[in-house]
Amino acid sequence: MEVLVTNVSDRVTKVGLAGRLDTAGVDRVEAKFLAACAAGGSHALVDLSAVTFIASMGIRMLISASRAMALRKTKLVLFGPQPLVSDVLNHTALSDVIPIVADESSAIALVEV
Amino acid sequence: MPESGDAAWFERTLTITAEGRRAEADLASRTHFLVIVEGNERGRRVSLGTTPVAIGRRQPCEIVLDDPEASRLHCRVEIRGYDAVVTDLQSTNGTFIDGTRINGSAVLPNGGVLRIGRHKLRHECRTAHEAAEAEAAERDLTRASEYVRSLLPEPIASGDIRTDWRFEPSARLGGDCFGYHALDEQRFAMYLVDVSGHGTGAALHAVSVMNVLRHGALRGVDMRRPAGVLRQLNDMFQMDEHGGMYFTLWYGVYDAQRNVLGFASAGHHPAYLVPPQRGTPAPLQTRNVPIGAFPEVRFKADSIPVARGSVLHLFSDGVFEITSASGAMARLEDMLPLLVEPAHPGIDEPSRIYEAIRARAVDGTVEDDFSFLTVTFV
Repeated sequence: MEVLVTNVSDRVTKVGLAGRLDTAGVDRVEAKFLAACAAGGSHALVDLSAVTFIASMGIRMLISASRAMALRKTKLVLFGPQPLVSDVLNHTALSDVIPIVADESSAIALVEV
Repeated sequence: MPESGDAAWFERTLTITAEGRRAEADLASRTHFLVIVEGNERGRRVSLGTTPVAIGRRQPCEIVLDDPEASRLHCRVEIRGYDAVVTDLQSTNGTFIDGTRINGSAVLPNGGVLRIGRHKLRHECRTAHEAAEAEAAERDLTRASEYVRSLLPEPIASGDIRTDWRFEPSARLGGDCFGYHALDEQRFAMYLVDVSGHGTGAALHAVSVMNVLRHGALRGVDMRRPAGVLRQLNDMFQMDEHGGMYFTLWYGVYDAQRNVLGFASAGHHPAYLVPPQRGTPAPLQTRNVPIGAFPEVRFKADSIPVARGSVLHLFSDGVFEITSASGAMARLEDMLPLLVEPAHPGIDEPSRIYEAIRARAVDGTVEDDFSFLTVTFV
């Protein structure tokens, strides 16, 4: 599992995840992921297009980020999940709390509203 | 490069030799073991030496495995130098080291896993002290695992509501748990909990939740009403107060007088109600976030009439989240056809499905906790 952080604008950070978001994957990236999402008052767009699998620890990581950002009144948006990952996100009803959209441009549109 | 007569050369040489001798002494003080990590007699530790040890289904093998997929004389393991060497003895179903079938002889590295049929044995090279500590830890895990299993209710074989189940944690302890009990003469509750993560922490949390549900220990909550149960559990088990753990839950209450099943799920995939004559399974799920994930959430419930002869299948995601033999990850819809396949005489439904899932999984391994509960409304 890898994480790549880029600045979309001075108020929006893109965080790309790649690989399996299982226990081992989350252990590798969680600290950097949460730091990137909670950095400096920016909104965060999480690119899931390269995530091949998500387990409960991966869901937990996303929930933790969402809760932390809600306290800072910043937005977290997920985009581009693969079908297998989308299944899991759907079962957990996470999209009721964290927006999940198809692509990066849709995600940017949500945070720039 | 110093000349051989230089003191520096001699000093460097002595350092290397001393370290080499320490390493050799350390290895010499260690014993090779095979430890059963999956299958019957999990935790059993067998020491290995230069005398080969035969493994198979029958004596005179030194390690006898009660395993229909093992040959009578399946393979042999011996220590050669510092290595454990496994030799397949033309077994029918093959001998595997770390997932690869061997041909003839191969080295089983320290920490490597030897698979024979449904059994997995890990090679360990430990000092006597380390082995004793590992055995003590294993005994603790066994006791904890037995305690968790003791919380599961006995299958119900007679009456209007019958149950069967299969419970296979991926490690000795896992975050899955399930149960059922009569709320009163008319209503019967059933539930399955899946705590995030694996291992001891998740198991402890699952036990806490299960004991609350088993005893209806939710203040001011009518246990007959699934939405209220989920709301109170969410208030009690917020993840920032419980080690960062959330859990998914499926909770249902069957009213035997009205023949209606009320249910609510939180972050959980559907349970499935299969009508009589194994018709099309109906997914039973309500769209709610997991328990403990977010505070002050309103939970939705639903209900469905139940025809006599229907069967409810309630299971954890470990049932379908397997890596298939092709290497692809399976999805929920891949296992649904199993729910309507004919029953096999002499085997309960959860076990039938467990064996079918194992047969599909790469290396016969179900990676996650496998919990499967079947409730038949007779």
